[in-house]
Amino acid sequence: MLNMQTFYTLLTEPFEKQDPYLEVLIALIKADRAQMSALESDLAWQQWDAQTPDVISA
Amino acid sequence: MDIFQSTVEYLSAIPVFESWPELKDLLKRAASRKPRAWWLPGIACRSVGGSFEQAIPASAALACIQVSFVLVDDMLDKDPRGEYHQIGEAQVANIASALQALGLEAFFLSNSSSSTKISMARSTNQMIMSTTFGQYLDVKNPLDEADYWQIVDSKSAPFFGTAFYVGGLAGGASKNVSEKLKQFGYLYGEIIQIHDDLNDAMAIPANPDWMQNRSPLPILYARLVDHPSRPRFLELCQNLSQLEALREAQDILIRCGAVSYCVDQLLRRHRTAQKLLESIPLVENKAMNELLEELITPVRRLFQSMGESLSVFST
Repeated sequence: MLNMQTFYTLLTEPFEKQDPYLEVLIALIKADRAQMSALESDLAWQQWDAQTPDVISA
Repeated sequence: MDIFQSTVEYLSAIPVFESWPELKDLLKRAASRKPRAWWLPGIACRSVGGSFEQAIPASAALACIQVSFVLVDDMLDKDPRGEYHQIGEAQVANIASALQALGLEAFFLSNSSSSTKISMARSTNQMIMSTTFGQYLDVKNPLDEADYWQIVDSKSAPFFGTAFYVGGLAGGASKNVSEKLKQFGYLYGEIIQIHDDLNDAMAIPANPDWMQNRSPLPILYARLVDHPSRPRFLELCQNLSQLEALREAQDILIRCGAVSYCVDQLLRRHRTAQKLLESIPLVENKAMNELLEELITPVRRLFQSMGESLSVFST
């Protein structure tokens, strides 16, 4: 895995070899916050909280 | 079958569950939200030729332990949604302790062989120890990348690894196949943690992580990497009470490559998990592939919204 600083250098320094994967990650830098909302998900550790209504009976 | 209802019913056979209304109520409320993690043992069990019913004890164990972790985590994070606001820290501490024991007890009520029960309980006990150590590291706040990944390896990955491992054992899988399912679960847990961090960093209004000087992955990147907006980012982090300041900080997360870094980390793990899954001799792999696909769907949506090629998923 690349460390953060190396990754940043790859994103920002001019490169000659065509790398479609890197180009997509570079394009993400130019995205706006509205586009980033596509990343929102319920993929998280916690999907419930103390305010959750009680609907299961047992 | 309703795995959530079945999980609560299974636990109802344990006397303490019926005699402790607050504990029972908590688990019922958690079940009502249908947490994804409760399905995982069943999906692993099915993938090796077992049934969802066979995995109910494992689901019940994981359910109890997940709820216990969330109860404690909310207190550590001072989360406004925490149960401790409703019933107090003393009650929550007792319930969280009881849930961990209840989770282990759930294995011993199952119909599995003694050796399988011991393997499942031991693996789960090791996961509890690791996660608790991860919580201990997390409250100290990660200072660098190595700290961050150590916390993920201790706190997030083992829970999901164990969910797949005990599901495999419940379905009669060999130790070798179950270990591979555990490796898959570790990657699954790491991906969940990265999504969790992205959601927290990009949330509006500001997630408590910003206010408490915590460092989810994108924020850690923007704090550590030497980029032109770093001084401004660090200044903004001192006072994010205004919405405009939060928006500017989130814009910096995008421009400095913090979000790109997280997406790269997601894609790399997704590819590794795909290859690993292909190498496991499963009876049925459709649901496992769907689980994996679900993890990468937000990234697909993002690339589609930008009109970018999706070929990166196969590189």
